[in-house]
Amino acid sequence: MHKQISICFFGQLTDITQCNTLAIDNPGTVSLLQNLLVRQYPNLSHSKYTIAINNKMVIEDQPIPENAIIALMPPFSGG
Amino acid sequence: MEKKSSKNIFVEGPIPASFIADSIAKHATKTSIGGHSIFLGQVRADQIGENAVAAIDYTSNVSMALEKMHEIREEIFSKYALTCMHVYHSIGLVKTGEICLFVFTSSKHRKSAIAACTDCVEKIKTELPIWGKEIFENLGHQWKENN
Repeated sequence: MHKQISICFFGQLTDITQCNTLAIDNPGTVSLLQNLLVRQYPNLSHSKYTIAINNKMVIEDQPIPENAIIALMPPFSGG
Repeated sequence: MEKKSSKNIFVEGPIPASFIADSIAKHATKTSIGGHSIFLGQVRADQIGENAVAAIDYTSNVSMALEKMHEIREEIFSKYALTCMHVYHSIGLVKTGEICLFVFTSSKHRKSAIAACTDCVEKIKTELPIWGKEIFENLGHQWKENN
C-alpha cells in the first residue's frame, strides 16, 4: 500500500514547479520532503516559503502524518 | 483539531460597487449602530519599467485562509466593541480600477469601528494565505509583494 501525501504549491512557487499539486510517497519528515523537493525543483532553494501540514504552520522539523496535505506558501500578498 | 464553520469571504472577480451599496443599505435596520468604517482596496496600475499592471489574478489556499479569517474575526471582536464586521476578498482576475477588498465594520461609536477596520485590513494583508499575480498589459507577469 502506498502511503501518499499531497503537496500544494502556491503563488510564485508555481512558476518554479509548473504545477499546483503533486502526489508523492510520504518521505517521513518535513526536512526529508524539502530535500526531495529541492532535488526535483532546484530553484526552490532560492525561494522563501512557509510550510503548513493540514492547514497548520510547521515551525520545526516534524513527522508527516499519512495522507497529509502539505502546503508550500511564499510570502502572502493579498489585498 | 477543532473545525468551526468559517464564513466564506471570497468573491469571484471584482467586488461590484452595487454589492457595497447593498451591504450598506442592509444595516439600516440595525439602529444601535452609530458609525461605520469601510476600507476598499483597488487594483492600481503600477508602472514597472516598461510594463504597466493591467490586472491582478488572485489565488489562495482557501480552506486555510477561511480558518485564519475566522481567528482574525474572533480576535477583532474580542478587542473592539463592534456591532458587526463584513470582509470580502476577490479571487481570480481583477482589472485596474476595480475593487479587490472590502472591509466593513460597524459600531455604536466611530472610534472602535475605525480602529477595528484598520486592524483587520492589516491582518488580512499579512496573515491570510492569498497571492496576487500582477498581469502586465503585454501579458507578462510578476508576483505582488505586500509592504
